[in-house]
Amino acid sequence: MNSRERALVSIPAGEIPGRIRSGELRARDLAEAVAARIERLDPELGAFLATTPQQARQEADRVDEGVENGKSPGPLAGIPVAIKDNIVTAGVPTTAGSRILEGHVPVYEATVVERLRRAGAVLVGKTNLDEFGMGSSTENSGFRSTRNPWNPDRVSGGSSGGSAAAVAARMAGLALGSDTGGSVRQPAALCGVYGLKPTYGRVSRYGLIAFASSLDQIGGFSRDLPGLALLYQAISGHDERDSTSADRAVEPVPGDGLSRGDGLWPGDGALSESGSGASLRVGFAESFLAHEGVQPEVAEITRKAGRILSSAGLEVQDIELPDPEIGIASYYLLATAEASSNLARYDGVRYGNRASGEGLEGMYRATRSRGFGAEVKRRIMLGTYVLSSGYYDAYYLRAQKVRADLRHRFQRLFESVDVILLPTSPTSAFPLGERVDDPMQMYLADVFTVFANLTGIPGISIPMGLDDGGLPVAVQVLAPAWREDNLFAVAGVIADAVQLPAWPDPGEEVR
Amino acid sequence: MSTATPLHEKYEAVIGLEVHVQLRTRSKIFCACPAEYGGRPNTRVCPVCLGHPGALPVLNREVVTHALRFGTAVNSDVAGLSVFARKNYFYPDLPKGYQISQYSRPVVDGGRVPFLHQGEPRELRLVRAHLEEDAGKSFHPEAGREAATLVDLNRSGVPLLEIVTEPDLRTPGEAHAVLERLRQLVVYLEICDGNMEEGNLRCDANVSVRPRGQEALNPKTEIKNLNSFRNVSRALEWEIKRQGRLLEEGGDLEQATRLWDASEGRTRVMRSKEDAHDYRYFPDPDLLPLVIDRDWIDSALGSLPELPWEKERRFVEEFSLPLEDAVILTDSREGADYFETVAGAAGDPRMAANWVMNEVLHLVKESEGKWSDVPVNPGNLGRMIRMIQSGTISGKIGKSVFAEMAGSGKAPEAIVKEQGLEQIQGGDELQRVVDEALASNPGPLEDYLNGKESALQFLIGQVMRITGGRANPQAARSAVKKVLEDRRGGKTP
Amino acid sequence: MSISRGEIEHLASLAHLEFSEEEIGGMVRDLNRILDYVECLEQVDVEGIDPASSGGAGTPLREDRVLPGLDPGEATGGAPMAERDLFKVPPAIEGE
Repeated sequence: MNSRERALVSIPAGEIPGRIRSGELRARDLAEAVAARIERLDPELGAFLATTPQQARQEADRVDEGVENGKSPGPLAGIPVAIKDNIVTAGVPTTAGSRILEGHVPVYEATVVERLRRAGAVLVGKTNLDEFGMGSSTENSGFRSTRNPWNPDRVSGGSSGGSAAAVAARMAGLALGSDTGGSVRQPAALCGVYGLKPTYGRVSRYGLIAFASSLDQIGGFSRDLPGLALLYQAISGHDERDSTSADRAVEPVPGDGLSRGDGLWPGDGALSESGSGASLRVGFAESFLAHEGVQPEVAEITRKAGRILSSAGLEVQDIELPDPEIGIASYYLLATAEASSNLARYDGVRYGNRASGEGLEGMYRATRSRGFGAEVKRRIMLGTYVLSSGYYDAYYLRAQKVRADLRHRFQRLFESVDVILLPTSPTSAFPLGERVDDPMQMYLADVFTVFANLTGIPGISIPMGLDDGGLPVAVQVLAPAWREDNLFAVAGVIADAVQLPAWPDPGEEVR
Repeated sequence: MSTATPLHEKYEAVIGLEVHVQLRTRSKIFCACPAEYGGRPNTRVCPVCLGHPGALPVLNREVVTHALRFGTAVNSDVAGLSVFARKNYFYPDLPKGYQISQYSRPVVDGGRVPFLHQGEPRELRLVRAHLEEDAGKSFHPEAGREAATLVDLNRSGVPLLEIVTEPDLRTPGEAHAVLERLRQLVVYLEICDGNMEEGNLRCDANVSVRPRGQEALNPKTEIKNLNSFRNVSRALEWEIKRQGRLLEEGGDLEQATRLWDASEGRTRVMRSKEDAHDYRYFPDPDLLPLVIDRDWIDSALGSLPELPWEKERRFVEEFSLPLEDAVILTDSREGADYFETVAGAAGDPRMAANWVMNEVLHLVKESEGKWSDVPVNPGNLGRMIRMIQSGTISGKIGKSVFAEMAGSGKAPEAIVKEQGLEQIQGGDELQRVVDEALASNPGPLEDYLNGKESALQFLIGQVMRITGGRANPQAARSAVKKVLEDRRGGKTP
Repeated sequence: MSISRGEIEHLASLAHLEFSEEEIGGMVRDLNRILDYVECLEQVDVEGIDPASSGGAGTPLREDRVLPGLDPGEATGGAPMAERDLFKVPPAIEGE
């Protein structure tokens, strides 16, 4: 790889639009560098299911022409963005990682994709995922596993493993993912990048292929916080095509990338001087760190993050969080119930693949049994069970009530603290194949992330460096609904205090 | 067979209906595709009503407003909070593998609909009415090629209001009367076109037969595919007989879903209880609860037209009409309005009712039920009736004036004037005619003079004939009589 | 509660899935493990909680306006089988 190419793909996303606007950088050059890098690295990593270099060139040219003609090229001008393949893209195959949708070409565009295009982003491809978002390692993809850019024998996390790996490996500046139980934050943690799950209702789900509609939320990945802030601003806001999208203004977040120095960015000193940031109260659940299966280094970096915030003047206090088992249990009942219904539409009639069987019923069964992978079928079965006559009250309804109770409990927690600090994932990236045969073990990867989905609150995963095995570890910060600004503020404080390692160059060493 | 009591005396049926009313809106319930009937297959569709991955529903306000009109009209509890649920089942014309419907919190809860059966006022209790999306249409072409089902999704997502009645009905006739009433109501409310051919109204019927006097209900049969009112009666009659015979033979009824086969005139088992669906209803997470505030309900209430049963009562009271006539005249809003215009112009509601029921309804039938196509303007008809009342024209002439109005659309005054149809009340003109009649009928004249009273009537008839019915019968009578009396008295003219 | 082979078969028919004997065995084992795990929910006191209560905001409503649908043939363009603009499937029984 030549150094010019490396320099281009290494530009933090948050700096790209400014440099393009100033004429110092051409979107087309960046698009070419990214395309070349994907072509070289991805056969090994498996982060992409489809790439769109031709379209990316055209979009980049449009951005460059805009700049030349003195037009505003948009807030994401020229940033190469990867899209998780459960977000529909008109004319570009979209599979949700499932064989049942292999070759499916959507006739419409997801709202978030429309918004990215309008903002001047350059879409580079569709990223791998656990089938329909069901998994925590991207090994449940119907097509291939995504390897971790820091160590190819490790998982990238999931379900948005392809997006996390693409950003970590500098095959994209930013990426979209979706987070149903931790599917943005956990792979972000395992790949050492920032990952944001906004408040439920903040980002339109129109065009997001549903796994569990009441839990799904589109979020994003970035190697730098200003880039993440840009992405968040671009995709957020009301969409009348999604009934669960909130009709409320999106507050500015610190460091939207245009303006380090805008007074909102923590590094500007605004936090410590003007008060709002400095007065943030941080809840810290020490008891969580003793939870079964938490890697010692993960516990240690979480404490370290607490110390960083404390010494930046934030008030850190110990809090009691609900039992994570309660979260996992209610999450799996509700998510599978919704999934069993959401996935009923894959019946071989209108789109996707069909397998033949005897009569209509035979066609249905063959299509679905061959089209879906084992984990998807397991969840459809569980979800069908919890909704079925005689079990609805004991499982689905009870889980709904527990969810309502959790919402109240977090509301009360947020009366005494402004944000909550906890690990993102109990461990760093685990070896490929380690958990594929043990669904329960896999589910526990979400133990610290599902609360945010169940209660609808926003969460961010913040990279903290590497563990002894050279794998990324991360902390998570949660805030009350609609307070993404506080997530960015706290992440900014940590980012300024943590020296992150150089980004990996997977495969480059052997060259 | 012995001379046992007839089945219908020994057993009674318990019937409840589920009526699917297609709501009249421009767009579908959850997307902006046209809700219009027909069209080239699969062109009134979009990612939402095709159930494409990632597409999401957004509720059409007008659909809810229609439901509120219905709910307030039947005096139900309209829910302040209503929930959409998913009803999960597979069928090729159901795109998402579930239908968005309502389950535990329907928009309309309870309600009462007054109706008439064989002239008796009755009241139908409603269990509920809920909103849901329609499915597409499946075709099962037979001939030639290999068997297949073809699916058009233009209808997918068209808004429906499903009305569920209590099992208060006992005969197919009652069921028919209730259906007629419900159809009339939704058309009055302008929430449905009421067009059976286009599937605007569809009905499933639940029926179970039990020995008279038995309190407990027997297992019920749900009959599907009843696409006309006639079929509802036929299917119920057939099914009640089947169940009655089965009980008579000592058999047990089983809960089942049966399909009405109109061509063979029988029902067939579609699903037994064992195969009954487990629909796994749960709240649709893609939609929030529907919140209906007091203002919305009040404005629905305020927008209600006079309801059919209110109109019936008013027509009886205000116009002193018999109930049967009021029912006929209020069958449709347009018809009732037509009648009221006629009655107002005529100043005689009973006479107006007779003219509308005897003459105008005929024309309505000819214009396929469309009152707007009736060529006789109701104001014209009313004034014509007034002309009869005042003696300007005779009732008989009225008929021909009516025919002329139907043909040319002209005003009655113009027709009467142009054709000289005014009644002859007396004077020289009448005298001339009487003289002519007597002169050309010396026989009857002689008879009368000889004391045969019945000859008088004949002579008056001749006067009427000569005037083409224009002579006022009273005037003609006294004129003829006067001449005859004079002759009897020995005077010669 | 635990789930039996018979129930698995019933669920499979509701979900329109088919499994080999061996897969059914695995499904019984996996689902029962998960159901054991979720028993922890019984510790939570949920007395008097109404999960349907909305936080005030009702579902948004669209005005009744029409937008054109897809072009002829577009809807069926991605279908596994279609004939004359209609989706084509193996024969279904009338009704449901």
